[in-house]
Amino acid sequence: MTREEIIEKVATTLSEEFEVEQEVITPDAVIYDTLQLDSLSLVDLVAVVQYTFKVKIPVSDLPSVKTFNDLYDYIESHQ
Amino acid sequence: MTTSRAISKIEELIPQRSPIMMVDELLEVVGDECTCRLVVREDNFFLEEDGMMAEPGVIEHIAQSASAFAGYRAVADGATEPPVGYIGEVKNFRLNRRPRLGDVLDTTICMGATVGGVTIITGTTLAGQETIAETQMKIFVRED
Amino acid sequence: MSEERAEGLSAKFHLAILPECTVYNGHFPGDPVCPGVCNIETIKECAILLAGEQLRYSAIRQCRLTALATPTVCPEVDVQIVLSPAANGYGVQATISDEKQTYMILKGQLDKA
Repeated sequence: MTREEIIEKVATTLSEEFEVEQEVITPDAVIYDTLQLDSLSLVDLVAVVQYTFKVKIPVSDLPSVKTFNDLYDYIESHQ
Repeated sequence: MTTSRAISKIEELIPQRSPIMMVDELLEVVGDECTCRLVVREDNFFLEEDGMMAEPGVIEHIAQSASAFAGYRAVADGATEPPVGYIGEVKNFRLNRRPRLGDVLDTTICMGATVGGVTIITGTTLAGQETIAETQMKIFVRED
Repeated sequence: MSEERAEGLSAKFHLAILPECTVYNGHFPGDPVCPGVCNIETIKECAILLAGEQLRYSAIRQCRLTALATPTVCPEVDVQIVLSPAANGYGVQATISDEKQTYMILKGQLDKA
């Protein structure tokens, strides 16, 4: 997947899963705040990325994935 | 990891006790999937006057099946007591019909990602070949 | 159990949690915790009172158990419930809370029995 395809797929998938507008998913936006994550829904993010991109984000890596740009980088480098 | 049928006593795998034990046996474990069984008997906590199980009973049965799987894994890792798990979320639960007295419920649990003590599972309950219910769930396992 | 009825099909119920309920013998021994599924059943029973007819869950879109409910943590709770007409019955949105916190948020479908 190209980076553009990753960005597009992240926007469509996460906006549907977390019921937010695609427009709020921007490169510098903080994922936790934008998707209003909490302890229960954080695992959804990991599961959706794993299911959609076949990329598993270990718990230890989560702190380094703060913004959507970080997420694009992470998926791109772990495909 | 494939294991034989009827894995240890259910009391060793789940913390729940009478009157709300909603799994009889952990039958089989294959990788991230397991199968558990419950026979719907007269003394079932969720049995209603019409001889059918109330819908929340099916959810509890699926949750305890996931709990049995978590217990099985904890015991395999050396735990002496089954972990206490709570339902954190039920999502996309669909019930086709309520189980009735005498039904043998076989539930397949698929264990998904775990983050911060919260594990995603999917559960499908069959009575014979008939699908009774399906759901996603999040189980929060308390660290003692 | 008390009930305040509002327009349409919504209401607020106030109810006490019974510490002597037998379920706490097994959930869990020496550590009574309200089973989440019993709170799901409580919402259904409130819906039945509100709608005035027998109802059963056919689907639960999402039910979040946001805090641990026990007979000591929350001896009394409020159930806020809204029923909206839907095919075969009602869509249900409900919360269980007290003045401290929210214990459950549920969105589901209740069919006429």
